[in-house]
Amino acid sequence: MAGAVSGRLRTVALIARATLIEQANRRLLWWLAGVALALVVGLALLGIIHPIAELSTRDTARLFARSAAGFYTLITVIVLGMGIIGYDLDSGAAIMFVSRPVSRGQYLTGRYLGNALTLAITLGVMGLGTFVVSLVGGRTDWTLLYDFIVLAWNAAVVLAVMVLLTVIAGMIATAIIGFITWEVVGNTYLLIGLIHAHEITGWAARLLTAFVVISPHVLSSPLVAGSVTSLNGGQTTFVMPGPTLPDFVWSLAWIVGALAVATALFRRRAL
Amino acid sequence: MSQDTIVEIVGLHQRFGRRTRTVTALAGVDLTVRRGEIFGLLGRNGAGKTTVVKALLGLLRPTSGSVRVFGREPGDAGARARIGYSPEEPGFPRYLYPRQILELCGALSGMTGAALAAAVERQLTSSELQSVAGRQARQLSKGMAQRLSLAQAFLHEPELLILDEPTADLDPIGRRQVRDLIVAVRARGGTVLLNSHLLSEVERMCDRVAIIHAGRVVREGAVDELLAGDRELEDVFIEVVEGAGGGTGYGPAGGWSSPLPPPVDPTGQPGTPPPALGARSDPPVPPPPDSRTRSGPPAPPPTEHPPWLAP
Repeated sequence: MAGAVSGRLRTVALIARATLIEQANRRLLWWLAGVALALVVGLALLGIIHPIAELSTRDTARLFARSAAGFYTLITVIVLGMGIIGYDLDSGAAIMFVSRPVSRGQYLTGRYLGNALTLAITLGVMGLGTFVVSLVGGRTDWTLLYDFIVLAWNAAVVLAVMVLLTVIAGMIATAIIGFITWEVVGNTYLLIGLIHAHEITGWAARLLTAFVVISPHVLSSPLVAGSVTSLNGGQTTFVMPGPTLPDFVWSLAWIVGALAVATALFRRRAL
Repeated sequence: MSQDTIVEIVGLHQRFGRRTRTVTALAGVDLTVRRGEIFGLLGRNGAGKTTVVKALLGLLRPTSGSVRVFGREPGDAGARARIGYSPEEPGFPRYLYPRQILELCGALSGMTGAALAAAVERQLTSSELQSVAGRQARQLSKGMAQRLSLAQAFLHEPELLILDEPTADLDPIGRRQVRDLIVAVRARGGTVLLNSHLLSEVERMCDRVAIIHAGRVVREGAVDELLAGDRELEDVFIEVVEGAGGGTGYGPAGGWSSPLPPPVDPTGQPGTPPPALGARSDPPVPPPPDSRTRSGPPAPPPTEHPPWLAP
């Protein structure tokens, strides 16, 4: 039993490793890392040199870096996600994998993990870049660690949804729906702020809250929805609590669920 | 299923599409491949050969019927570990190099360490892929991609090799090498299921063949029996296929289905569509009894070859 499980995990790891090697051969990994560094360093320095209006230099640089990280992650997720198995289906490489003792679930999971790893590495490079910038600027309190964790986790969720999309749709459709998913997922938590700011009540509040609860965003779990009462308090300024373990578990359930549905649909597909 | 039976297909039906737009690719295929033989799967384009192969590998779900490989379901990992497959149109991860692809394929088939390294080296050398070691899969020519496909199929020395048009894109020397490899597989007790249009190759290598037409096996038997009386496999094939109705079975009347409207004669009336390719319903038009009764120079005697092939 343990041998069978380790054998399956080994297969997934082999495919994930091959995916990472492929991205390195493709030089996409290096391009993404380069773009990440350029964006962070360039924009952060720009922020230090030219503070915006009422914001302090520190906040400006931080804002720039965070926006750059968000933009970069979106682009990377779309680029990686649209071809996550689309290229394999087009070229026939998918057959090379699944005609061996590799289940379709292992194949999809391996491809997913390989691309998620690519994303994690390049985001890590970006995070390191911002850290270096903060050190150079003498701002030891200036950190984007929290933002990067949320970004990476949201990207992992959207990437899993794109695996599901790529099984049932073409690459262009996957890219478009993936983009919409990113925007929805990335901004769902703002709905809670909206509820408070406009003092929305009744069925509309319940509907919006329900939407937030089922959203895969790491900051949109039942825990966040449960905090509505305490956050409401008649204030119009909304402060989002940081992600906790249940938030991550909720998002992880989304990832596992998306991959499971993708596998079930992929099994029915003739190759 | 006996010990000597590697592949057993009973009543295999395969339909594609939904509701009214369905295509029947297989209409009840029965087939048995025994251990240690080279079995040829023959048929016209669209006859259903590749569909049979894909059903064997679990790449599609049969509409009905039973498929057993090594006594197991075709999707079973244990069964697939004992199979080597080279598809008609090989595809690989586009940005991997040949060595990386072979290492990956070997590892996915359970090979590890020194055995994997030695097997990869052996296949790179025997398939003459060393010269393209610096090219990614997307940069390989069709011939080289075919060699790589065969190399990955042979890599883990499988008990059953399924080769779909294995020599289609190879040069004559490459074809000879592949033939030798296939025969060597049989010599070491392996089994080969060969799907090929090159009847001379099939005739030379195979022990038994099955001819598929319009999704059914219309003839199955030992090559020696089929070729009794110094006949050529090509003649037998044409006779069997034409006897079974000619076309692929996909179009009307068993012929090619054309998106074009039927031809229109000079009077503006729709004419008779051309006969189905290979259809036997129309008898050949006999030559005029006496060419001298026609005006102009006498017609040349009928030749066996069309004019553009005449010596």
